[in-house]
This record gives sequence, structure tokens and C-alpha cells, in this order.
Amino acid sequence: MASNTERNVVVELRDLKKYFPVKSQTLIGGMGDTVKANDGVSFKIYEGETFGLVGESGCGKTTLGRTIIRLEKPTGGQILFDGHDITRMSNRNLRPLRTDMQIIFQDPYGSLDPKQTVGQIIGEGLLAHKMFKKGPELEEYILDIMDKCGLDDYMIHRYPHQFSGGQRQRIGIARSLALDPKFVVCDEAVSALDVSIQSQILNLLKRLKDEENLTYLFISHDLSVVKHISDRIGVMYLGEMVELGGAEALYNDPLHPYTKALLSAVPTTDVQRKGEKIILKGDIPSNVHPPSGCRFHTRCPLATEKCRQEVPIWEEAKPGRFVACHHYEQTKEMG
Amino acid sequence: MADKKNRKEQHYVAEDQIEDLQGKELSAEEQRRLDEAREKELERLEREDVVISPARMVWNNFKARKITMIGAGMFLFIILFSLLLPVFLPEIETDMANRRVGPSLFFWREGHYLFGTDNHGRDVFLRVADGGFVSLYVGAVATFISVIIGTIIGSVSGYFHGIIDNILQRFTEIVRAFPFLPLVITLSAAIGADLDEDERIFLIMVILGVIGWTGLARLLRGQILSLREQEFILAARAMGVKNFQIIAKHIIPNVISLIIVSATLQFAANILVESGLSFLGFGVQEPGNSWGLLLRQGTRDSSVIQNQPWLWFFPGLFILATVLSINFIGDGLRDAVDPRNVRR
Repeated sequence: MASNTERNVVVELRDLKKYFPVKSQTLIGGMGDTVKANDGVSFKIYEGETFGLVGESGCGKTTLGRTIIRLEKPTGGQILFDGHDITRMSNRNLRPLRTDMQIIFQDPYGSLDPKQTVGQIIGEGLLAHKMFKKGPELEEYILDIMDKCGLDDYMIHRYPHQFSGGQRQRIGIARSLALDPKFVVCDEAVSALDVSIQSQILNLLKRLKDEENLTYLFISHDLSVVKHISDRIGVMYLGEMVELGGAEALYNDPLHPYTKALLSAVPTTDVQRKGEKIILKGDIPSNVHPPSGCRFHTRCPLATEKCRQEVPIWEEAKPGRFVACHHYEQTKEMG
Repeated sequence: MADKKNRKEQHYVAEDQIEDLQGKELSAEEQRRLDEAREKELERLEREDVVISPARMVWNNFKARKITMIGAGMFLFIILFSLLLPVFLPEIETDMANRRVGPSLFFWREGHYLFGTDNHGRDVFLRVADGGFVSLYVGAVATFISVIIGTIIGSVSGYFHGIIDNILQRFTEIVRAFPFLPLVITLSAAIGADLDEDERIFLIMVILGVIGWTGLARLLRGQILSLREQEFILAARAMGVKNFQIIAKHIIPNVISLIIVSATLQFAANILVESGLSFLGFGVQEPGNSWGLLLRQGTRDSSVIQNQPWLWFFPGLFILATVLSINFIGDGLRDAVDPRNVRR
């Protein structure tokens, strides 16, 4: 982890905030109620790594992924992409950078335009950036990309409805790779596929990462998938990051009680495994009016009066391990 | 058919062979068989490389419904009847010797007319064929105008939402609230008197077109509001495709079927409105000619209605048949583009 300081930073987030208005703004001009999808998230993603992002539904993972590549306008904070501050950049200035950041979506059905052929889908970005003109060269390049993603040549003139979910996801991957990006957000890229296809796609993503020198932000709620593919993992809860660390370290020795509870819930076939499931009480609280102090205190088995009042600071508990919890030393004895 | 089945079986054999042999330690013989099977499988894929485009699927769905094809046949007949036939028919002339002659099946004989004659001895068959042109023309141009306006306002409103959407929606509501009939009647009475026949028809088309786009605009806006949240639109934005390109390449192709269906039904409605206006005397007038005008002349007073029913029956029949056939086509199209009825 010490080598992190020497590696290039691809993405850096500083106190990133993204709020969505629930009601229209008040007449006087103040903001009405907002959903705080991301509320002060800071971390760095280094070149060549796979950064896993986990958390339960509605914790703001997807919003974070979309805000990083500026599909959403951030409410506050700062996004540095490859040294450029893209937080407030206009779409016009952002356009040249778009080739470097791409996204792979969850739903292999909704993410492909049903009216376009596979070739048109993959070639669209290339034409938009005038990297190619229509013609045999473009087709050659598309076939090349398709081959890398495990798609056969004859598929180029077919329409998305003629493919299975796994093949469609390969098309989506081919589309984002066509622009030769540096950084790819994989937003639940395998969650909609069945398990045997999942592993195929994961292996494809791994292979492409090595071949094309990519950096991934891998968003998933599936902990075993994230562990399989990630170098470092960030855990999100209710719009905030609660823990960050190397994949192995985080799995073997979770510091935040929420991480520990999440990990204990991963289904396993290992009868020998020690420890029981930690059942969290209650539902995930509203992110319109999040709980005071530590946001997890309403469901945390270790919660004390301090947690109710003081917001825990984001600190480096061990080298390379960050956590936001008042009582992380006690997490080990939990459960 | 038999050939097709045979091929299919062949392909299963090839697939099975590949599955059986894959991933095992292979002897030379088996390796050869595997290669052969793979080749066969590839050949099959190439042979069966029939690309079914979405448009093709819609056409297949469309063809499959009997009532739609009847409608399409009827409409084709009407088009030929009123656009092509008049070219070959003689001029319409008044013939005082043969006034108010009833219809006859022996129309080739002297003094016999298929649809009868009117008060001035004009052949009703010729007049119906001739009048259809104006009815269809007015309907088509008015529909064209409203589709253009409706598509632009609807897509801009849906895609850019926010304040632009708000302004356009209020504007749509204002246009929607216009009292249509009083407006047309007033306009027709106020400036209509100074206009010649062509200008009058033009005025009707423009009014119909400029007022009739609101339904389509709202329909499109709703559809596009949900479309723009689809992930393939996000993907295009992530790739840096410009907004205009996204509308032209992703949004419009995905709502074009909706536009076509709506235009078809609007076409039928416009033909009806034109007939209604002419019937009331605010549309096409003599010496012009349209089905609505013929209907008006056929129902001038109760004695005409009773004693010369052919004067109103035939124009009425043609209006009915036209509107009905277009509606059949429109309904058929709507079902055909519905992705829930997939028939390949």
C-alpha cells in the first residue's frame, strides 16, 4: 500500500456531494428537501487498479459512479479526473475527456438501443468523436473490438433483440471499450446475469483490464463478486463511505461494524465457518433526513451516546485502511 | 420446409458433437471430427444470418392481421379511385337533359349513370371521384403540418425537460384550449369571402394543421421523458454524443412508430373535420368539390334527402369507407409496433 503514493491517481474525489431535490425549490429560492445520495465522499482511484464499491440498495453507489463521470452534476465538492477538475466543467469542454471515461450498465436490455445494429452501437462513439469515418476501416476496428469481447463477426449487422443477456453485456462492454478509455465505471455490470455467465463476464473484464491497461470502478452489491475482482474496496452506507481498504485485509478484518455485518451475511457453503450472521435491526433510514451523528447508529450493535451526537471522522486506522467509526477497535469482538 | 427442418436437425447434431468433444483429450480422429463440426456450425450461422430488423418485425406483425389488410386494401382502392381514376375520366359537364337521374348498373348505356346525376345533370360518379382528391389532400397536408409541429415541440419538451418543457407545455395547453369550430367559422367568414377557392382550401389545411398537433406533442413528450432515462441514452451521453445527435439517432427512431400511428389516426380525423366544415358551408364551396360539399348538396332540403338519396349516399359511403379503412390501418399499426406482440 505504501507504493500508492507513487502511482498515478486517475480519479480523486474531495468531499463529493450529490443531492436530488424531492420537492421543487421554494419560491424564495432556498432548496426544498433533498435526497442526499452522496454526502461528502472522498477517495482516490489509482491507475491500473480495480476499486470495488459495495453497499446495500439505495446507499448511493450508482449515483456516485454516474457523478464521477459527470452524467450527473455534483452538488458540492470536487472531482479530479486525470488531473483535470471536471466538477463544474461544461459539456463542451468535457467532450474530449469523455473518451477516457466510460460506463458499463447493469441492465443488458435497457442499455442497448433496440433500433440500432451491433455495429452502429459500437461505432457510435467513434463517429461522434470523429475518430473514424464511415467505411471499411471503421468496420475493421469494430470487428477487432468485438473479437476482443468474445463476439463473432457475423453479429455486427444484428439487432440487440437477437442476443442473450450475456452477449448483450458483451456488446455493452465492446461499446465502452471502442473509445479506448482509461477509466471504466462498471455499474452492477454482472448483477443482471445468471451465475455461470457472471463468471464469464468477470473474466472478460479482468482480461480486458490487463490487455487495455484499464482502471475500473466496480460497483456491486454482491460481495463475493467484488472480492473476486477488486484490489481495494470501499463500503458505502447511506451516502457516505464508512470503510475503505485492500480487498483481502477488509474481508479478513473488517473495521466498521457495518462492513462486518455485511460480510457475515454473505451466503456460504462452508459449514466450518465460525461466527453467526449479524442481523441488523430495522430498515435503512431515510436519506432525506439522515440520522444525526454517525448515520449507522440507529442499527449499530455497538452504538453509544457518542455515536448519536458526534459525526465520526474519516481516519486512517491502519496503513491503507480508512474507517469512519468511533468504536472500530471493538468491531472484532462483535457478533 | 422439409429442407429447413433437415438443416435444423443437422445443426443440432453439429452442436452436440462440439459439446461432446470439447475440453477432452482428443485423438487425431476426434480432433478432425471436432473441427468438422465447428465448420458446419459456422456455416449454419452464416446461412441463417437473416437479419430481422425492427421495421421488418413490425411489417410481419402488420401483415398477420386480417382486418388490417382489409383496411389497407380498401384504402388502396380509394386512393386509386380518387387520385388516379379522374385522370382518365371525362370532364364533368352539366347536362340539363339528364337532371336528377337515379343510379343505374348499366352505366355504359346512354342516359344511365352508375351513381346517378344531380340537379344540374352532372354525373355523381365523376364528382365523387373528383371530390375525393380535395378531401384526401386537405387531410394529408393538415396531418403533415401537425406532425411536424407536434414532433418538434414534443421531442424538445420531453428531452430538455425543466423550464423549456414548462413553457412548451403551457403553450400546448393554450393551443389546446382554442375553441376550434368557432375559430374556423369566424376565420372562414371574415377572410374567406375575399379568397379564391385554392386559397380557401389552403386556409383550412393550415388551420387544421396548426391546431391539431397538441395530442401528438403530449404523447411524444411523455414517451420521451421515460426514454431519456433509459440507459442507452445515458451511454450515448457518456460517450459524448451531442444532444441533437441523440435526438436524431436514438429518440426519434424509438418514437417513429408512435408518430406514424398517431399521424394515421389524425389523418382520418382531419378528413372528417374537413367534411364537417364543408357540410356546414365553411369549408370547400362551389365551384370547388369535396365529399363534404357533395354531402351538403345532397341534403339541401328534405325533399332532396327523400327523393334523391344517391346524392348523399355515395359521398357519405366514401367518407365512411375512407375513415374506416384508415382507422383499421392505424389500429393495426399500433398493435404491430407494440413490442408485446412479437411475431417473427
